[in-house]
Amino acid sequence: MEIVFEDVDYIYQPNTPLEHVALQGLSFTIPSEFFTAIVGRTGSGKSTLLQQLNGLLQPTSGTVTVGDTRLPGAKSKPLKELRRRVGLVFQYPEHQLFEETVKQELLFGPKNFGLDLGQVEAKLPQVLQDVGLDESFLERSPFTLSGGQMKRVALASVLILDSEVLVLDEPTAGLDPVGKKQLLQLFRYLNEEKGKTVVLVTHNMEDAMANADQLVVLNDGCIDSVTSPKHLIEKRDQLEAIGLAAPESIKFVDYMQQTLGVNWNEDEATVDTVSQALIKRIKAGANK
Amino acid sequence: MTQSFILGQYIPRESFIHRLDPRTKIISLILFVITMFVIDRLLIYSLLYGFVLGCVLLSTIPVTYLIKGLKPVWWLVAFTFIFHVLFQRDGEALFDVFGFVIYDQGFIQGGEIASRLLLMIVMATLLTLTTPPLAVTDAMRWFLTPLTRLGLPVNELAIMMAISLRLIPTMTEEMDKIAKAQAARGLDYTQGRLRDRLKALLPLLIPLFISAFKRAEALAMAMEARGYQGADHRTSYRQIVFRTMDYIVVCLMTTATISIYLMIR
Repeated sequence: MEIVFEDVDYIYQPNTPLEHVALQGLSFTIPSEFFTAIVGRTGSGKSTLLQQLNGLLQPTSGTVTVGDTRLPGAKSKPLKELRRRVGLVFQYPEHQLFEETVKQELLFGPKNFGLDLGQVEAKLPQVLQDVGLDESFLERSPFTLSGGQMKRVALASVLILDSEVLVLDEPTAGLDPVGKKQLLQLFRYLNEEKGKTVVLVTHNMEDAMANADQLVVLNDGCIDSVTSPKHLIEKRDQLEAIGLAAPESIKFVDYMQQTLGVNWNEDEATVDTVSQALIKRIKAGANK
Repeated sequence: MTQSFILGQYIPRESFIHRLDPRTKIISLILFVITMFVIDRLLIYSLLYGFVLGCVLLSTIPVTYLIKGLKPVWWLVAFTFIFHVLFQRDGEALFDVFGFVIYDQGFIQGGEIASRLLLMIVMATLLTLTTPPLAVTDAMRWFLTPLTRLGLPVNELAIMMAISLRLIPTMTEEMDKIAKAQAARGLDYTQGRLRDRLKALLPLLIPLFISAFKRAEALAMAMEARGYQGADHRTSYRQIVFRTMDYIVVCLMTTATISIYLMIR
């Protein structure tokens, strides 16, 4: 599903003394089946933005078009349909758990949306496996799990809806490095093999750059730029200025230029291309 | 969802009312409520309305914000008024509507009681809108201090009150987050039969309670880790001070209350 933002403003508590402008004049497109990362520092409006994607918040002015639904203006029925088609996982989703067993927790969404429970139950083992758990968890109480496991269960409870769009707010915060890598691989798999549109909100530039097709850089509620990770290297100075750390690989390119005198001409700087360049240089007989 | 309701919120401003000592404001509020309950004349009610409006204007809080924020209260006030008009059986019968005989006393008493409710809520809201919650706690502690001799743990009560007040906005925020997370999983508690709606509250309340308990535990531990050992013999960083203006306001309020009382006797 394609998602189009047109001149979107969002204001919290408008016309009160506590009025707060969170988003201002956003216009951009999230193409269907793209992996889009939304990056920006804390308070730049990322979370407000992603809640526009399934109508939890609706623009104060401007429009958001998700597939064939236009916001603001959708009635409650199309809105619910929209929420089924756009799965949203909040930051710290473990705070939403409430059922007696993991199984019931996973079936909560499908029940609300009126899906065929027989079919959904058949998918349970697969979904659990996807998030790195196994079937033995089904009958356990979610409150006996560790923080990381709870997060995975909460994530699975949205994945089971099999939504066309998956919106993830800092899904890997607080996980160990291995768990983090697993989940990012899962999101990539869902995007590449299952054709899901994935929107990842993060302030980790490494994750964004390594996975996304498109980067939406937010600064103070405005769009700073919409770019591909490839072109990020050209903007590395600007990143620091808006409170984002440039990815390590890009920093390393700078280091190579300054200290080793390596000229960097490639348009991409990932861990792979950088190490390739280093290997090439060593093979060519560099002694530094 | 919870954004529009302003009961218990504080809005920082630089106004005459904001600068008053919290004790002054609480004493004034109590005097105001006493006055409201002893009077029975319309003329004095209009005086009280004027007083409340004056206070609101002095506080520089936009009137529209107050009106919008107290929306649920308007319904309560309107309901009270209509209830009295329909069911009051004193005084002269005026006319009847659909079998209900309407008496003139119905209007008068309905107006009185609705006004009391309205004025009291507006004044109490004004107190919290213009006073930081911690200042209210300090004032309460000051009022209760004489009771320490009777063995009342005033300091403990004050710190409990401070913590609860502090946690209200946090819990509201938490509630909002949970409600959104469940709505994203298709929960809808605004539609359907009453029974279904009540059932739909469980997915909101259970996580809220759990997080409240966890938060309380973490807070207790953090306090202990920083050497908290009961609230006795603690000094406070912010002192509340009674200024000249506070003496003037308290004197004026007391004089006004007594003279109104003498006038109607």
